[in-house]
Amino acid sequence: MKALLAEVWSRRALVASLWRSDVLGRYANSAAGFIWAILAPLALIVVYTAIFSALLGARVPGGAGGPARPLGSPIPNGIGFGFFVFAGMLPWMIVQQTAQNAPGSLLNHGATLRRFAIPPSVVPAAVVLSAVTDAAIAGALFVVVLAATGRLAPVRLLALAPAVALLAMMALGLGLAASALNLYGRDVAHAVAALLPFWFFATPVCYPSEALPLSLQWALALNPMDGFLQTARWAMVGGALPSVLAVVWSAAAAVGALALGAWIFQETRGDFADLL
Amino acid sequence: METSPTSSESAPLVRAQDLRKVYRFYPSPLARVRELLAGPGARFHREHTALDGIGFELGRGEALGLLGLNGSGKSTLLRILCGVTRPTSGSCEVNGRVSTLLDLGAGFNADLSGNQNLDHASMLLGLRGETLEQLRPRIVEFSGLGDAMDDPVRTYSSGMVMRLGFSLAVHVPFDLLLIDEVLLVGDEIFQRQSLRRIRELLSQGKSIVLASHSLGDLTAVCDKLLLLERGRQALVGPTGEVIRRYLESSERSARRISEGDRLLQGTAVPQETLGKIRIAGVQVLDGSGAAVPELASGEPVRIRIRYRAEEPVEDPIFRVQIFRNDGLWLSGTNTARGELALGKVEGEGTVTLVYESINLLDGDYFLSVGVWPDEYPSYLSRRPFDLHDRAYVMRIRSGRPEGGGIVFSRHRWERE
Repeated sequence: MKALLAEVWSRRALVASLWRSDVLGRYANSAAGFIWAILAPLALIVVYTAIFSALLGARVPGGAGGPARPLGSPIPNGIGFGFFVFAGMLPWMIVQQTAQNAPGSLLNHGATLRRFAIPPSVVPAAVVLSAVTDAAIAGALFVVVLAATGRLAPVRLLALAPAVALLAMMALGLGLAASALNLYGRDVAHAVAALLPFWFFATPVCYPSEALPLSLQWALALNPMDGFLQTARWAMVGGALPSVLAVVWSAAAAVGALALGAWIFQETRGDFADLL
Repeated sequence: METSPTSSESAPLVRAQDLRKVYRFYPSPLARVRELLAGPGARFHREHTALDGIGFELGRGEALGLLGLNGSGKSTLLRILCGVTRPTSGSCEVNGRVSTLLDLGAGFNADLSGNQNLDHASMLLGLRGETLEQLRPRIVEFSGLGDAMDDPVRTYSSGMVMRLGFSLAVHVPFDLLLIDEVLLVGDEIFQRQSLRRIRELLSQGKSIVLASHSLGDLTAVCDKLLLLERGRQALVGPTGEVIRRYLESSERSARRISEGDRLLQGTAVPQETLGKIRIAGVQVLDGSGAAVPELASGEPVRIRIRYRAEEPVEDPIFRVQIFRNDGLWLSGTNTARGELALGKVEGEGTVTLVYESINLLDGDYFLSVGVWPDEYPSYLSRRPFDLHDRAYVMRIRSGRPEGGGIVFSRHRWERE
């Protein structure tokens, strides 16, 4: 894991260049260009705040028009529910975008990897960088909106830094493993795509964790995303402090995922040139 | 040209020892899992030995030519030299920076401009930003792309993409340049410019490995040759000596390339045939009708085609085409153009195409022999009775130094 991280770090300019080329390519030949990088997440914010507050917010306990909620519950009501959903969406976006783009990434860069003697690890690393940057743009806009509506506590935002770092580690671990294994059988990309919705709905992004029945709370306890979501929500929209157990578990899972992903990648990389 | 390396450079630039590369083919991903689970000894794959027992050294300022047919391992060896592929066993040390002329369009993003792609490619090559900025004007000038450098690469022709890739590869700092000969095509002016640049680099003490099946190019550029045959190092040594011994080995002359020979599988067009009349055998003979290992430029050649008609056929047309070994169609003719009307053809027989003088220079050429129902409107839209596409080799040797290139025309010089 150390060797792999050192390798990626030593070629960080290349990772950035891969990311840059990806972004430039994405917005090339479009009239609005980079404005889309802001418009798309802005639209997401509008959708989540408006739709979830207006429609779903009314139905969840404590939502506007719902029954009175017990004191100290972390779930805000009204437009606050939209903010609550969006704050949880941001960490999920990193995982989702990595899961969508990482498995095929080595294959997509096959021609490049066959010609240039570059460490292949930079390719999934660039995917993660791209996912983190997109979430960061959306997050920055969200922070502006929060500030404008007077909901921001700047000090709490500091908690995001370690959370994003750990989340990026987890995403990199997944990206490394999926991109390497997908070279042996394309089933990996399909399986990841098929399993992703299960993980999404097992993660309390669009619903408060209290909405899960008691019989399913164990699944929530095992889900490494929960600590990240709790931290992101607390940092951006406030509410209850994240549970120490969930945060520690998420951090451990992130380090574990990176160690496992790096191990798989290092064990298999000798075969890459022949499989590409 | 002085090519001897300076004595201070004691270690050779490249030292390859006993290189071996085996590719494994698994029928399905599950076979790989099964093999993993079954433990040692179990085998669920088939192997292809692409390289075996390759060993050579290359000094600074030297040019090594890799000579061999398609599928003989040239590309695998180039990939090992540029550090992309690892050998299965053996070692390959390269004590310097490598630049490649392989797969020139690789790494380019079609949506980005030429200049943006240069930025990105320089990162792939591990160049520093300021190095690129120093090189950029020369790269752009050499490529001849000018203002097109600001257009997206998707608007480029394939030739323009190659020029950009070539220009980048020959201007970045390197000690060893790997070239796949197939890439030395393109428009003629650029091709000449490219060859001039390669010679210039050699004289600057850069080393080159050039993979080719053309003896002419190899003799023009290389000091040493390595002849690959089915992944094995058949010969290695100074260019003149290797070529002499290569040409002496007569078994490689006019022969039918066996079924399953990897050489032609890539290039031959699979085509449905009508049957009815079959090509039973083809012989490439000299003027006297004798089978010889090689034919001489300017001398007569007889191509003898034996056929067998399974049912009577009216006026079939026999067609012979000559290709260079990279697939370039050099010449072709048929019995209709030669005004040989065959009438009703039954049973077995022979037709012979006689070249009064074969005006091709040194090299191996490939023959396609086919029997067709008619000539027009197009061979592409018709099915032949039978076709042996690029299935025969014709080795031509120039006895005298007639000149360079592919074609030779009888000539003399005069002073007026």
